[in-house]
Amino acid sequence: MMNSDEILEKTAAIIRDTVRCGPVPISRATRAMDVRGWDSLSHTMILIQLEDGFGISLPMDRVLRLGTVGDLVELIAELTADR
Amino acid sequence: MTTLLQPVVEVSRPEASGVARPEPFPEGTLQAALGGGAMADQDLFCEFLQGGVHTTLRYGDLRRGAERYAGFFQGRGVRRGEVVLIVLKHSPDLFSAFLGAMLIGAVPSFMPFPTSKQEPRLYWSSHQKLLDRMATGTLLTYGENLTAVAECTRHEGWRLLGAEQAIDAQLPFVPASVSPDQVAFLQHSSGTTGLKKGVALTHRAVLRQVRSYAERLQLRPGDRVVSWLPLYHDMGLIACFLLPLITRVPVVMMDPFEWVVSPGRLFEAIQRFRGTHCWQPNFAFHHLCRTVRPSPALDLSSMRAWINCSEPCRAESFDLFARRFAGAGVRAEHLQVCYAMAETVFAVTQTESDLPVRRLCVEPDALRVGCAVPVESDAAPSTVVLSTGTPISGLSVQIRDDQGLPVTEGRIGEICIAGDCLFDGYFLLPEETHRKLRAGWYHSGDLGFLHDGLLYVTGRKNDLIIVHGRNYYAHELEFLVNQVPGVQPGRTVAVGYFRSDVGSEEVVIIAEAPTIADSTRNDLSQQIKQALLDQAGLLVFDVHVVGAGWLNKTTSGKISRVENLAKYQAERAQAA
Repeated sequence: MMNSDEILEKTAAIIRDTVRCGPVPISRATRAMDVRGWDSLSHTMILIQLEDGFGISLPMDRVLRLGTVGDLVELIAELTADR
Repeated sequence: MTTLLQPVVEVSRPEASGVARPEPFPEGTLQAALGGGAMADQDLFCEFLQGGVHTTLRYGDLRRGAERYAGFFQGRGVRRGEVVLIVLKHSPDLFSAFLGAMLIGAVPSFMPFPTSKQEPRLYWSSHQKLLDRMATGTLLTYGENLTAVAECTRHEGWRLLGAEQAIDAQLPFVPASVSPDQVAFLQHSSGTTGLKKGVALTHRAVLRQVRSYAERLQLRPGDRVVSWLPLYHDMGLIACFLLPLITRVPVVMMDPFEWVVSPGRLFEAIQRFRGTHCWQPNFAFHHLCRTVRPSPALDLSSMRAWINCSEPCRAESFDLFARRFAGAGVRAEHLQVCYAMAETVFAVTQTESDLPVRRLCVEPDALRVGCAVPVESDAAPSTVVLSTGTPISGLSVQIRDDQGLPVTEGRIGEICIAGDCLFDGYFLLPEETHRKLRAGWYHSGDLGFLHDGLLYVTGRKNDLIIVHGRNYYAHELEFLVNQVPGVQPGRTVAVGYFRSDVGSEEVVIIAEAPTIADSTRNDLSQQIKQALLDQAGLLVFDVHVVGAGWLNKTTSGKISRVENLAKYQAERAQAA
């Protein structure tokens, strides 16, 4: 099972790769608007890549309430906890 | 196809004949669409999909909801002719509030509801100029927002109402007798919040547009509109709410936020309800291609028209979409284009149903100097432009030069429109109205040319930037950026930056901040982003904070958008 830091690292890599923003720092406190090109459309692309990357299905009601990368990491940790 | 008379090029469409249209067609006013027995209460109006819940709305539900709001508004003192700004989340209550206001002769207008990312106090205070200009009216939102509205705005003369209070209202009301030439509603679809111009539309203009457009689309019983569009946008309001309402073609409506996060739900809705018509901006075709994997079970064969509208339509977007979803039944002849604007209620031109959109390969160099010259040889460099079709009946299009004179076919100029469904003017903005609406012709600010009777749109005369189908003016965004502490006032530029992967323009802000240390430039960039999100509802693609003297000026001393965009792109390419 991946720990929270590993999930953060993989999530950050997927975000950078999807929005092609280059090697910018992405932490738990990062919000979408802190990253160039991370808008609501690329957000959907990121979610799809995360679902593929972690083998999970992200529930839409939870996704619409996310505020930071930390929230996203917590959600992924919860969905992968049983593995 | 219309024959053109040289040298004046103007196309218009005679009244179509022999095309079946839904009967009985309401004449006179929009109120007739709901009353007078024209609509049976059991007729289906809308399948509303939201949060996994499916609500069926029939005309009886719609009428009762509208009457509930009409009684509520009148009971609170809302008068005939008064503007009612509706700031509610995407829900069936939008229909009720809008139609309820019209039942008592008030003038409703949808405004976007703030997103969770917008700071509420800044969002409400950004409406100040709009409230000041109108001086009086009613603002309808949820009760929980009323304190913020009251604290963040000077609202003397404004009636602030909480929508929850309308839920149980069962108050009687006196329907207003309105004339077809009275303003039915305002469309606030362009510009940043406080500077939005209210496009005033009469009952007569709206009904003529809907009748004419329905004829062009050859709508027929059994058709279904499927939409994810917000109702504050003209495409959502007219094509996906009022056109279905008046023509009795039911609509399947989704939540715009849910569509962005889960675009495939549009296809699920089309397949489930056998959708036939769907309007969306160019970027949405890309978004669907990028996010939805076609499965063998996907069946979109019920669709008769995917209509690309509200931002420049691109051949490559259509090709991508047709290729990706060919297996699901998408055909080139179902991909259509509409050129539309709030000032003509909606559609100006529309391509022909069941025929692939005409493409014209023109010489790029000639295009840059204002001339569309078709390329004869396959080997020559060419730019592909998509036709937007011919004018709908009742409208005429003319291309004019800088002196306001009509030009010959193939010459690029400003697209001007005349006809029987033009707007009444910009609400309380007589000078702006006079500038754009002269001698019965609306001067659109869009550039284009006519070829073989078809209109092609090539660009814009003004500084409009269209982001995902929403219109922003660069000078208004620059004004907001100039207010952010640390930015050198007057040394800011907002530019449209086309992203081919998204199929839409994005906004890039370049701001000079000579007193800001390099280490805090990122903070200033975030502040600018937040200011534009709060006050314009726009998430910009990038904010580039630079030192003094970075921005290039033209010989006349103005900051050049074209040159500075090129400089920005060069820096980005170098950094990558």
